Amino acid sequence: MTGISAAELAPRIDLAVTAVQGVRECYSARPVVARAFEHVTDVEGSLAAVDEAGGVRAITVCIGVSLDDDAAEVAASVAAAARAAGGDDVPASVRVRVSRLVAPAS
Amino acid sequence: MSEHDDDIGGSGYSLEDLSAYLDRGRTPRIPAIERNAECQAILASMERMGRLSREIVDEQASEPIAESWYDSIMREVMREFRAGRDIPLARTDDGTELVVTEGALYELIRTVGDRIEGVLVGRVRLDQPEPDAPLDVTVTVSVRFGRAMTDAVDEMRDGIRSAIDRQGDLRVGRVDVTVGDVHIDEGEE
Repeated sequence: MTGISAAELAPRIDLAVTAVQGVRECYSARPVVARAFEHVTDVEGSLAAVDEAGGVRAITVCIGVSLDDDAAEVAASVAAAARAAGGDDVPASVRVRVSRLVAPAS
Repeated sequence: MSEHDDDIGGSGYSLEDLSAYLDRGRTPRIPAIERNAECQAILASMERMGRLSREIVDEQASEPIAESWYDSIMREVMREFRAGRDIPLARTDDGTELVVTEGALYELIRTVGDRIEGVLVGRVRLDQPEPDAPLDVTVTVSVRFGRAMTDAVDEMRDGIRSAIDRQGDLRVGRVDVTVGDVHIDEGEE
C-alpha cells in the first residue's frame, strides 16, 4: 500500500480518463451532496469519485462516448486507465458509467 | 437559480435556467452545468431543436416552430434524459462494472432519428422486462408529407437496432416504430 490519498488520486484519474481514446466528455461522478457543496462554495473539485474503506478503493467515473464507438470497449479502456492511475497495488473496484452516447464531432 | 422540483440531474438548475444559459452563449461558465451529464444532454437537445427550427425557417421562409411544440418535445426529452437506471454494458472478472444509463440510450435513439431525413422523433420508450433480457424499444415519429412512411420506419428501426447492438453486450428485442403524425412544411400548405 502507498500513501496516495483518495483526494490525490481523483485528479490523476481525471487526467488518465480524458486521455483515453474514444472518451468524448467527462462528467462528475461524485455524489449529489458533494456536487451541491461544490456549487455553493464555488469550488471545482475532481470529476472522478474515489472512496477508500478498509484498504479497498472504490472508483467511479462518468463519461460520454461517441455513438459510433462501442461504449463497452471505451469504458473498459477507461477502467484500465483509472485502475493504473494509482500506480500502486491497492485493490480497487472500478465502475465506469456511460452517461451519454453522443453524435460524433462533425 | 430556480427551485428544486425542476432540478436537472442534481445540478440545482432548471430547464428554464439551462435555456437562459444557452441563450447567453454558455457564459459565464457554470461548472455545475458543464460537468453534469444530464444538463449536457438537455443542452445538446436544445441546440438540436434550435437548429431544426432555424432550418425550417430558412428553407420554407415560414414562421418558427410553434413554441408549444418545442415545449412539449423538451418536456419529453427532459423526462427521458434523467439518468434512470444503469444497464450493464459488459461483464468483467476483476471487479470492474461497465454500465450505460437509460438516459444515454434515450439520447442515442433520438440521435438516430435526427439523422433520418423527414423524421421527427416524438415519444421514446425503453423496456427491459428482466435484467438480462433484450431491450424493447417503442418510438413514435412524425414523417414529413411526401416521404414514404414504410421507408422512414424501416430506416428508423434498422438505425436503432444497429446503434444499440454496437454497444457491448446490449441486445435489442422488439423495435416498434409508430407513425403518429405527418407534418407538412408550411411552404407546402
